[in-house]
Amino acid sequence: MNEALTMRRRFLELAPWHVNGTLSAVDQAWVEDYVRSRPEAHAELTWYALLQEKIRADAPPVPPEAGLERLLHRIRKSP
Amino acid sequence: MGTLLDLVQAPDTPFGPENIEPVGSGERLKERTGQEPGNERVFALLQRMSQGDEAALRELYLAYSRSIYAFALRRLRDAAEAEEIVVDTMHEVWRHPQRFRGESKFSTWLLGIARFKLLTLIRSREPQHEELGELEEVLESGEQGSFEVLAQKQRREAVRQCMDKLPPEQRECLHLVFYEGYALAEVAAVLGCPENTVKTRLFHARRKLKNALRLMLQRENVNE
Repeated sequence: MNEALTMRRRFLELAPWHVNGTLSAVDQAWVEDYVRSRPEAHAELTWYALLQEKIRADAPPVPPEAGLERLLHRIRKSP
Repeated sequence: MGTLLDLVQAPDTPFGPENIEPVGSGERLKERTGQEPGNERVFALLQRMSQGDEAALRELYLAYSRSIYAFALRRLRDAAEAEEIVVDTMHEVWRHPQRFRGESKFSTWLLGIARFKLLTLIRSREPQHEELGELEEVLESGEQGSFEVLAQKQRREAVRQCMDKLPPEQRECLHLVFYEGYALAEVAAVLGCPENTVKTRLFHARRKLKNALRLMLQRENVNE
C-alpha cells in the first residue's frame, strides 16, 4: 500500500481522538505533524471540532436530581 | 465557528499553511466540569451504599445522572424513558454496589449498565428506528413536499436531525467520543465490542453525517 494512503488512513483513525483530547502524546504529536503541511487534514480536524461543539451544545437540559425521588421511593419500598 | 454551514463546508475550506493551528480541545468533559469523582471516592460511596446509606446514593446520583440521561436520550429520544434508564441503572448500583471492582473508570462501568438496560427496553418494543438511508432517499426522491417538510425545521436543528437518523450504534459512538470525551478503549468497553468496531462505526458515521448535511444544505439552496 502506498505510504501516503497509509498515513492518510492513520490520520483518519486518530482524528476523532485528537479532537476529544484522548490520544497518547506520541499520537497527538504525529497528528499535529501530519496536519502541519496538509490543509485538507486540518479541515478534517476542524469538522470534527465543530461536530464536537454541536454534540456538546445539544446536551439535554436536565437537572441532575431528576428521577432521584422516584429512585429513593423505589429502594424504600423494596425489601 | 459553529454554524451548520461551517460544519458542512469545513472539509473543503482552503486553509493556507499560515492559518493552520492545532485543532482539538485537548480537554475532556469531566475534567472540564470537574463532575466525576475519582475511583477512591466512588469506592467510599459504594461502601456506604452497601450499608444502606441513602446520602451516598444521592451524591453518586448527582454526579452521574446527567451522563446516563444524555447517553440514554441520544439512543432512545424519549425524555421519560431516558429518565427511567437513569433510575433503573442507579437502582442496580444500589442493589449491587460490590460489583464495581475498579477495573475501569466508574462512569465507563455505569454507562455499560445503562446500555444493557436500554437495549433491554428497545428489544421489548417494536422496531421503529429509521436509518439514515431513508432520509437520503426522501431528499433524493424530490417528492413534492419532501423538501418543504425538512425546510420547515430550523437549521440549527439539522445536526441533531441527521444524528438522529444514524444507526443507533453509530450515534452512541459519536456520543461517547464527543460528549463524554472517552478514549477508544473506554468506548469499546461501554459498547462491549472490539476497538476496530468502534473505529469502523465512527468512519461510517462521519461519512453519513457529511453526506446528509451536504444534501440538506443543497436542497435548501436550490429551493431558496
